[in-house]
Amino acid sequence: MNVDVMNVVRRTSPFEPAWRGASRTLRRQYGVPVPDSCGNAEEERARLDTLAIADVSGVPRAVIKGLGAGEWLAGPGWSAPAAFYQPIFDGAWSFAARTGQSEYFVEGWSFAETSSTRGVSRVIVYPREDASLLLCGAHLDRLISEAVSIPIDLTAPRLHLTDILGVSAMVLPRSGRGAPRAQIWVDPTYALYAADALSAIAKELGGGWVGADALEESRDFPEKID
Amino acid sequence: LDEDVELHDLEVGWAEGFSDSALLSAYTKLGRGVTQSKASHALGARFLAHRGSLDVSAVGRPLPRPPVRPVPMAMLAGRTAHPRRRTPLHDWHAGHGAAFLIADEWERPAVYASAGERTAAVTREVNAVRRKAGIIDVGTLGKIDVVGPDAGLFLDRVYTGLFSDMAVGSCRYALLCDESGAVLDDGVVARFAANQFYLTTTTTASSLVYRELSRWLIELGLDVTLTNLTGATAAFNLAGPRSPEVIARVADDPRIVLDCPYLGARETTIASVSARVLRVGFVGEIGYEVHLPASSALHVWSRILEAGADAGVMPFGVDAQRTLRLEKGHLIVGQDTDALSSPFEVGLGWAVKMQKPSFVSRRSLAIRKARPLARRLVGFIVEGDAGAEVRECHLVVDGSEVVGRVTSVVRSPTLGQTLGLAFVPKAWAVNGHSFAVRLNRQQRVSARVVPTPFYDPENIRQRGAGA
Repeated sequence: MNVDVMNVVRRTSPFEPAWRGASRTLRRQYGVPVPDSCGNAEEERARLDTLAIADVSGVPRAVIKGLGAGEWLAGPGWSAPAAFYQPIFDGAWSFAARTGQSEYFVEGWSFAETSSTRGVSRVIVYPREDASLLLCGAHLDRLISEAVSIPIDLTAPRLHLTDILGVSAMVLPRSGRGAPRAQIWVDPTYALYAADALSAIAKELGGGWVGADALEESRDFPEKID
Repeated sequence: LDEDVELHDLEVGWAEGFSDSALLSAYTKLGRGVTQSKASHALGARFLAHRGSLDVSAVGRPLPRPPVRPVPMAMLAGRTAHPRRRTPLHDWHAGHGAAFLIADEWERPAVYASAGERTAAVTREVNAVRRKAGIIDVGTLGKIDVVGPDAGLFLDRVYTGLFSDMAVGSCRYALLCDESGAVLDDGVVARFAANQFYLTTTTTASSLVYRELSRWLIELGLDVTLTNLTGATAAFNLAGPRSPEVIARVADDPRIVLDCPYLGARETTIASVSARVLRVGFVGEIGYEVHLPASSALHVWSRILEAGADAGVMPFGVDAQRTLRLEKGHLIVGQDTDALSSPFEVGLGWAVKMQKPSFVSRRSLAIRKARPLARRLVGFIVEGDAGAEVRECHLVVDGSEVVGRVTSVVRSPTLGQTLGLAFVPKAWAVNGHSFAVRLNRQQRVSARVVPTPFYDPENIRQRGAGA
């Protein structure tokens, strides 16, 4: 999808109904509206310390699959990851992870191509439509232990294919200063179920939704997600 | 009532004749949950008393038995997970008065109605599709991309039909049977390139079909890549005689969709969004099934409704869809078939290409085809005025013997008759044959076998020739 079309087409986050009532103003994250805030600044700062949930569904992501996908993905001075589920980061937000013999999950990069265009005839690019949340705070480990079906080391940036409260999901601990953080991805059709369930746990732990302003202002999230 | 036993389950049990507390408990598993019947049997007794116009004390309770092992407190105290799936349009549906039904894990709009006007609303939605145009969210359908040099061969080897000879830009009905030859699922296969096919599955079988295809891909060792696009892809069906003019208003290149013939498939852009358009007709009218990225679903759905407002386009739900498809005589796998149904008993023998040298269910289907059928799924209309009382699962009887059952039944707003599908003995599958359907409380009504489709038997409207 090119930039002109992104400005014409009103894309929506699968989490929008979950945070709509709490947000007064919106901004576009890769063309997808997300809340600037989900409460007053003081509340949001407190949530960042305890347990914050932020919608990052708008970030572009794709799966690249087929024979030669690794070669297709490699760029000048850069190789596709060889080890499974070990992401290689490119900048603050973008990364690629190998999720199959000839399959890679990539986030933070847009692909204009939807089929083979780089001379490797067997590669297919499928833009993903995942519902994705960024979670952070001192109580993240408690939420993870309650909601995720396997133990996860929050200090090791490894992509985990698991399930969250009965729904297939991916979990990636993200390194950074300050409080621990992790990103999760679920099928967008389960987004509202996951949002309800995770919000309930977060609320019990003193946390809740935060908007893009809080992420930007936090020293733990210096990178701008757009 | 008790774990996952719901009131609806009791109603189904009652409709099937389980009017005794012990039988109803055995049928529904009521009382087998963590409370070990302490609460649920009292509720079950009240249900039976209400339905049977009895005093609760006269209903009785099943013989209590101790649990095999104690129930851990953690099981009662832990957080329960009941995942629900919603399409990207769920919020729109809720905001426009949809009453939802549960299909597997999905919440689907059954009808858009105010309180107390459900029947009238379904009729209104049916009439909109038959006379003008309607649009339904079918994003719950399973959607799978099948890509690779062996893609056509793979589909030939797994499904009962022939797909490797399909022209690029066409669709074909697809029937899936298991190794025993029983109907497992159905859908549509579209071919978008020599090595690229896109298939749909029923709502409730999408995970099962993807799993089975993945298993068979390993077994067959073919050069194919499968990608499950069910959650990432939204889908709507715009159908009705005015649907061509509406789709033309939102298509970036109207000629591409207007020139697409019945059972054609096109990749194009609708309201600036890349989309796949399939010309299929489950509801029996000319229609366009539009598949597109989930995040753009609300944008395109809204544009279609805006563009079609003066043409009378309105959303319709699953209740209207089921009525429309039944008028057309289309069956629903899992409702009009059961775990033993062969394609030959349910009128789908035409979708089985036995001339193929090999496919998953071929051997079993050859054996089944050689044997005489014991039963057939037939179309019927209810005679007299008792039609409204006939329900799905009511029994077809021969004297005191149960010989079949009603699988689908509806009062048709279009035809003004109560019509449906039922399994009957093979010898009864003759047009004009009358048979008895037993209702609750032993009442009986007469029904008559009639040919299907009930509506537009020449398929003129579905093909678009009469639009």
